[in-house]
Amino acid sequence: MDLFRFYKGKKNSQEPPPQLKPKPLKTSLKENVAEIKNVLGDVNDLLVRELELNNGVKAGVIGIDGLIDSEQAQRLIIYVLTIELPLIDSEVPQKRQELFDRIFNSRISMIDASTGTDFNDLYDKLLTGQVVVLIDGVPQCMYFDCKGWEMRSINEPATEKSLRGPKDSFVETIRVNTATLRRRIKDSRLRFDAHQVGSSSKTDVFVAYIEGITNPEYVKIANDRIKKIQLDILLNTSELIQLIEDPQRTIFPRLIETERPDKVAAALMEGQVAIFVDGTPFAILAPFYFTSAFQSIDDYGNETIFASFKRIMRYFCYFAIILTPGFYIALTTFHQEMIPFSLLITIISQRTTQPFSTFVETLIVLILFEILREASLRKPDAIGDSMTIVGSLIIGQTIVEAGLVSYAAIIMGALTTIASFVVSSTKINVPARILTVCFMIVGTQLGFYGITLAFIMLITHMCSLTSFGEPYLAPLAPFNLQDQKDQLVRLPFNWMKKRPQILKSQDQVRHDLPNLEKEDN
Amino acid sequence: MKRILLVICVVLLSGCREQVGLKELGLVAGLGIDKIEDGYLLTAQVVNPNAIGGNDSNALPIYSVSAEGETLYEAFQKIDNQSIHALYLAHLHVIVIDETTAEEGLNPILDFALRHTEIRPDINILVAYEETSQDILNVLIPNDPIPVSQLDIYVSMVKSHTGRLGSYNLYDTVKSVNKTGLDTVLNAASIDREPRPDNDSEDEDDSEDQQDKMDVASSTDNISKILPESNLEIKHFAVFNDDKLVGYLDDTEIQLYNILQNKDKYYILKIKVEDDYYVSMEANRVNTKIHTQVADRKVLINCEVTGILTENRYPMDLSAGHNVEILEEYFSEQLKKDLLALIEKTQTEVKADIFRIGGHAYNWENENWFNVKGHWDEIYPTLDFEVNVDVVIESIGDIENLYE
Repeated sequence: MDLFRFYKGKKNSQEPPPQLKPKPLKTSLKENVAEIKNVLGDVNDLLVRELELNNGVKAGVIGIDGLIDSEQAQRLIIYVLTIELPLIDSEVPQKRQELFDRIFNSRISMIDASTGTDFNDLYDKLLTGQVVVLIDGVPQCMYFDCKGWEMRSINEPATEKSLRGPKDSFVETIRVNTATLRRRIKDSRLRFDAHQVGSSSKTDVFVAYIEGITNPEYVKIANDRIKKIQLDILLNTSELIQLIEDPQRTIFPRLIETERPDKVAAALMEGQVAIFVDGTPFAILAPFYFTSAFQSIDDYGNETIFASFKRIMRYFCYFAIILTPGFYIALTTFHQEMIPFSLLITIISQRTTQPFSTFVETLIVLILFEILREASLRKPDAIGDSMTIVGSLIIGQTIVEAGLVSYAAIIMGALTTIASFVVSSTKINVPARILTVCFMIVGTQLGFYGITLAFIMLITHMCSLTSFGEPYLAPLAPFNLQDQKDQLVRLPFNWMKKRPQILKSQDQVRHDLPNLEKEDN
Repeated sequence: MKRILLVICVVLLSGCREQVGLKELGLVAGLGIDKIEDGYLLTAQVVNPNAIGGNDSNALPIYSVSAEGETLYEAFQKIDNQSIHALYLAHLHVIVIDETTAEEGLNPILDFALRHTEIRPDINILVAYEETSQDILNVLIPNDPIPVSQLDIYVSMVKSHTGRLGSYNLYDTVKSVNKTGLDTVLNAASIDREPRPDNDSEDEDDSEDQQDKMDVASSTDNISKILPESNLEIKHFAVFNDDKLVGYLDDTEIQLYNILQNKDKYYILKIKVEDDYYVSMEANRVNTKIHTQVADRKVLINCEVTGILTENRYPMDLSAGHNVEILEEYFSEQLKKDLLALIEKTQTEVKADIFRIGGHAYNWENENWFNVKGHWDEIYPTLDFEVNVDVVIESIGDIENLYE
């Protein structure tokens, strides 16, 4: 396993996480309750209800306020124990263990139920929203899942908007997300491998894949890397990405997250692995290859030709973000012969009153746009209008009149910024904006020669990257003709009979639709 | 560590050697070359972007700097040093050379221009007709802030379809200039300074008048009038034998020349029927075939010209087909006469093979060509030309006949 060579260097990550000592439950209800209260502290959200069953046997019902659906707990557990049980079981057996089994097996009718004997187990279950039922005299407890808490309703995706696609997105509750996915893939082969990450947060992390399609290698890598994480608290998919992506020094993301269930469903069916983290409305897709960031869900809703055109536009814009300011600076400092004569005259006449070089003024404009972008992300909605006025009108207009920058620099900055909105994924936007400045520096020092050189270095660097061990620029480098059907252009669906070969899925054939021509004959 | 070192080296040691700030740039739009006693007088027309961009509307859009030097490069270095800007030749539009330089030979100019790394090979090269090239560059004209770009537009872009202009750039010229049997024709620019009715300096003597007009032409006085006193024009065409100027063609002759060069342009043909009635047509398709028999000193030229009738003052019913044929006959005869006259002029007066008969001989009877190549200059005037012209009128326009 050459892939994991980067883990071998670290000694402590080889060791398994320390196991807690087993701590068996006690027989006495009082002692058990006291122990629980002792460990959790006298917190006010701990609900302990001590009941007396019809034959004087004491029972305790314990839950955490806010995590459990108290109405459900009331109806299905406490009601059964106190009202129904005495009526039906008039002859309650005296043996406590028998009573325990009877209650668990035939009285409390909840689908998700289990029993346990260990305190550590009890705390885990209690804190994830299960209701614990203890019977006095039995060193065992019952767990009933009646999780219920306030959660956000399913909204429209905020970052990946689509014109014609579905309008739902993931929410913070992992169960809702898996259910959303199940509703899209009604396939018995859909699997979720469950993990808990974080010694304190105990965040649920699910690795979703389709058995028989997904390359087991990826599932293994995902499971192994998640298991090796040692962390106290995991709150975010972005954190998880940084913990499990291939450790290379780069500004490019090697994994990407999405908030669209349809995108995840499509990715799973192509042979990717999806990783869900509880508490985050995103799913990580792995392995990620760079060109997939340019595939929008709308590409599949639109006609082939229009979708292909838009996709080419997106690639063009990405290069525009990286290269435009650098090109402008190189043109005006080294290659004036390439600017059309009349345009050159206009640019020079504007520049005679400018105090700064083209590099500095372009940098000023870019930083200004970056400030505006950051401010508009964080601003309260109420001051949005005034910010637009200050940002666009006052600064945009007066900065030229004040003689700080020229119109051409504003155009370059605006072009770069607007192009960066076209490429929807912010994850690959950020490296592009950093590269913009790099190419500006190279352009002002070495001109087109430098830009060419830097571009070659950039492509070489990107070719060296991997995501889950797969080449980052696949299927462009290494080139795969079969996979070009959904890269620069999107061909009709009945042409794409096979799954992407770069994902090495076990079942290569996607579907067996007949070609339209054949149908006609 | 090595990578960081490399980045530091690239950024700090590159030194921006060829970096030129836009503010320091002096865009040269035209170069004028005049022959003086021992060397050249080089004039550069430099653009003043502030005047054109609107920052300084009082300033003139161009200014000239000139210097003398024994070589062209020396002269150029001198004006580069004189100018406050770094002169930049990559946007050069035209090179103007005066007659004396042209008579002595184009080769030194072509060598300088093509060897210079900034000058593009597709710029136009013009001969100053009866003017110094400095004067040509110093005329301000009303419709374009940069006068030489007007000349450039004349010869290269918009007007290149008119039959009465040639278009020959530096690269075309150098391909033919030193080859036997391929002689060159270049555009010649002149200043149009016809006396205007409101001109009050008629009684002064001619040379002073000329000097006066030049002063007006090169100041804003010239462009502040509706009918400018001076303007740039291209009405003559310099004929070169090898690289030396030997004579001129006028604008009707260049049209015939273009027809013989088999170029599809717009030609204006006109005839006078029965010594009284003008008829004119516009020809836009030409099919000229030149067959040479250099052994017999014979050249056969078949020329088919197609076009439409544009003006008819001859009272005849054109709806009858044979009447159009009669007109075609007249046109063919006239054109044949004109062509033969032009050919004779090249054979006797200027003695230059501008029709590239030698080139045709090289292509079609290669063996014979090498027998005559050495003394082609003597053979060319003795060639016997036979010209067949066929003018076809495709359309007679929207009306058939104005006269009943």
